[in-house]
Amino acid sequence: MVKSLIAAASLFAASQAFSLDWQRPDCSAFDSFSECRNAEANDYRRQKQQELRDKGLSFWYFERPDFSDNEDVEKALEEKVEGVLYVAFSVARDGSVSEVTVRDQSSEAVSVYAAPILAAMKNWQFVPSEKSWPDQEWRYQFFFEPEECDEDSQGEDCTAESDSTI
Amino acid sequence: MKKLKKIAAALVTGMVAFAGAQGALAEDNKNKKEVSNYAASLGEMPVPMEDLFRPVAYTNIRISPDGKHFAAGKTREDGLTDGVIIDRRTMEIKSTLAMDGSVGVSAIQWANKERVLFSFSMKSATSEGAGSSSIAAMNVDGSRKEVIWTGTNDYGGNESAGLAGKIDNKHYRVVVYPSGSGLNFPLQYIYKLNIYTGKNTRIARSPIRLANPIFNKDGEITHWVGRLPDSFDHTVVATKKDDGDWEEKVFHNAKGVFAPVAWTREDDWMWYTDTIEAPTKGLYKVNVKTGEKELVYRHPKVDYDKVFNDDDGNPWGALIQYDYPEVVYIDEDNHYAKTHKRLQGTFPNKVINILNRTSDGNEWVVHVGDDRHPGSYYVYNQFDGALKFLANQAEWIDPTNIPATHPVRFNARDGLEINGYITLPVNKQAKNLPLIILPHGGPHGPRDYWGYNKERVVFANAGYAVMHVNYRGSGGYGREFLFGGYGKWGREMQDDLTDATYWAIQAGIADPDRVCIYGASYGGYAAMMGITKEPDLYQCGIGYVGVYDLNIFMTEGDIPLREAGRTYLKAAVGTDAEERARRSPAANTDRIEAPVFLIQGQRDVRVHWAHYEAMRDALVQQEHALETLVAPRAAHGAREKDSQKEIYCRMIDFFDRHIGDGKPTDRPASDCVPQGALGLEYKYYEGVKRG
Repeated sequence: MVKSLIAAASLFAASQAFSLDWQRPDCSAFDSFSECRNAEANDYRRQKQQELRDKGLSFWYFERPDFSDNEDVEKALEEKVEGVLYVAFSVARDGSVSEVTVRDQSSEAVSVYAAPILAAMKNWQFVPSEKSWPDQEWRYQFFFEPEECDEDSQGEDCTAESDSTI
Repeated sequence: MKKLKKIAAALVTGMVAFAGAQGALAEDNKNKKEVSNYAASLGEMPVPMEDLFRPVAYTNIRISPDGKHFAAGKTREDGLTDGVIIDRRTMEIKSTLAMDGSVGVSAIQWANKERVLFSFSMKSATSEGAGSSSIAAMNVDGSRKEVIWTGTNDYGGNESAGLAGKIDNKHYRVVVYPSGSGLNFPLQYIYKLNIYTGKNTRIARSPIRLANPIFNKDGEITHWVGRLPDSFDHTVVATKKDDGDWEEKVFHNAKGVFAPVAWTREDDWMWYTDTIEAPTKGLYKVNVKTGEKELVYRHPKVDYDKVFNDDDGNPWGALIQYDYPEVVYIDEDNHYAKTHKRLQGTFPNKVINILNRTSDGNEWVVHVGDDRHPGSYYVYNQFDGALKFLANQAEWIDPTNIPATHPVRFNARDGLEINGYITLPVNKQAKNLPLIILPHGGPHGPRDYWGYNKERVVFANAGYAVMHVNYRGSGGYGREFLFGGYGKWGREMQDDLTDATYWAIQAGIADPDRVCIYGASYGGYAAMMGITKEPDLYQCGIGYVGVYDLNIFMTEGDIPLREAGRTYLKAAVGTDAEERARRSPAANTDRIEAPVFLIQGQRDVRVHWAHYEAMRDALVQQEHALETLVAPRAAHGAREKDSQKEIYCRMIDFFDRHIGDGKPTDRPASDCVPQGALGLEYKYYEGVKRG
């Protein structure tokens, strides 16, 4: 039931114009949650890198955010704070990255992840090109495996399921 | 910012990584050239000799598990190789590991994202080249530089060791063949090595000789594949029984071997190699419980040289070198196979080697090379499919000036198919060229391949066609071809070289009046035997650390020290002393017409000095046209650059005087000793008839 609801919600979200009413990706087609999360991240990165490359921006060095050694982030991960962050950045002609800022976010809570992301993105390096590239964008999503629902579960997913049960 | 601009420019021009350092080196070399007259008398060549002897700038580039750094071997101005860590983003060297007394880095592994292991070959105390090897480690920030392996306390130290797999983030396995194991092949010892402290503990000893272990997924040794104590030509498979004891099965390699290679990820299934069902190596998947087996790949003509596995141990490709190297895709759907195929499409006619990947599998370091250049490193990004240039191993070499190598195939006089490679000088038609026949050493096991080979490039760069011949007895063409050469020294094996020479003449490539034969070790034997057996075919011959007397070979040098060696010698060169004498160049110098040049390392223990003396003295007695060159500190071949430069200069000078533009009566070159070198012991025998 949860799966079908998520799927329906995803379809709905996809048909709307850009909105920060963020919805966790649909994992119903995957055997495991981790597979789903990896596929989502990889598909986005692949699509985005190809998109950038097609217009002339090619990565030399991509750095992943380091979420360790940050108490706030670790707490957020533990509490499974979900959402999306859209980060804007500019690429200079020499391939260096600057003006890295959070452009949008699905909730205030998710901004807890911003600091390590911004730090990593500032280290990105692109292959130099003939011109500079202002106002680029990258997306980071955070979502976790839904808890198994039982009678005592108070999680969002479980509530959603019970709400939809007639 | 200024620094970044410089890097950025380098990125655009394709000299990404090491533009600064390489630029400095190139400039320094230019200055050196202005004061050096080395080999000037040999005339102008498409590529200066000095450039061909320059060591490659970078080796063993590997990306860190987190993709933030590269580790590499970086060649210093003095020719030794340091280990370096390069910051991925800025491409600047972050830390360096230089080892006193080493020849240089021979292998690199990232143990984890913060620590790198470097295998160093240490200089031999007694002769040119490398002695034992050590393992050193360094953190990416340059801290905790430590030599973590120089040998064990169990045997007094100085045992060479090889890294043989990761146990965990702090420990690796190292395999050791202890010295002083007596007259049998040694047993193998495995140690658990702490890569931070160097503390080591012995964890296993092979039950059979000269063995390699096979681990299951739990890290337990289930099989050893090794040899009999007294035979080069038997394979022993030891399988662990339920009671912990070992069950041994012995195969004679001439009749075929069926031996495990590794466990698959599926329970009860292993990869096996087989030469029983057919003479060439076949890769099988075998259920060890049921005995069910499935042929995965076998080439009808050649052994596979290597099987490429993915991270789960599944083979996706096999390296086949019938003529040009080719990766045959065993599993077309495998991600590695798909990527390799894509890279091959980008670099057609090149050899692509996938070296390592980041731990997330996103970025790959690959090496791309061919017959005309040592190669370059690239980073492949699987997300956007982009391939970015990383480093050129020899930017001073323009491939268009390097002679190309072509596979050749012909039938010997008895119909046996023989393969080889011919390298042709640039800017010359492949017609009526002076030819050097160059048989490899070994002879049983090694073979020649397509690819960048400095020796043939050096000769072809001097204007000669060079032909490598994989005569019968060579490795790589199946067990029948290999063992078909045993007992055929000076006979069918020699005839294959003769037939190769006639093939080149009949093809119009070689000028029949300008052919020489040169080789090292067994190749030296074949060269001298060639001019002995075919006195009208060759205009000159060079023997380098060669076997010249098969009866001396039975008693001198390190091969007859072991029972296995004595058995091998009987099989390879025969048991009849008179017959051996008939097949020994030193005993038949009266048949030799061609001028001879002998080159010998004075500390050679593989082919004893006595061979050189016998050949030299016999030729001197005949008042034969002879030149000799002795490298006092060299063993079985000179390893130091200055020695090599002098040797190759003198060889080219010798060829020039006999099949080149010079005359046999010309005086030898006087500019073959590199600047600053002491020089080897060269002798030009006077008072003999030349020309």
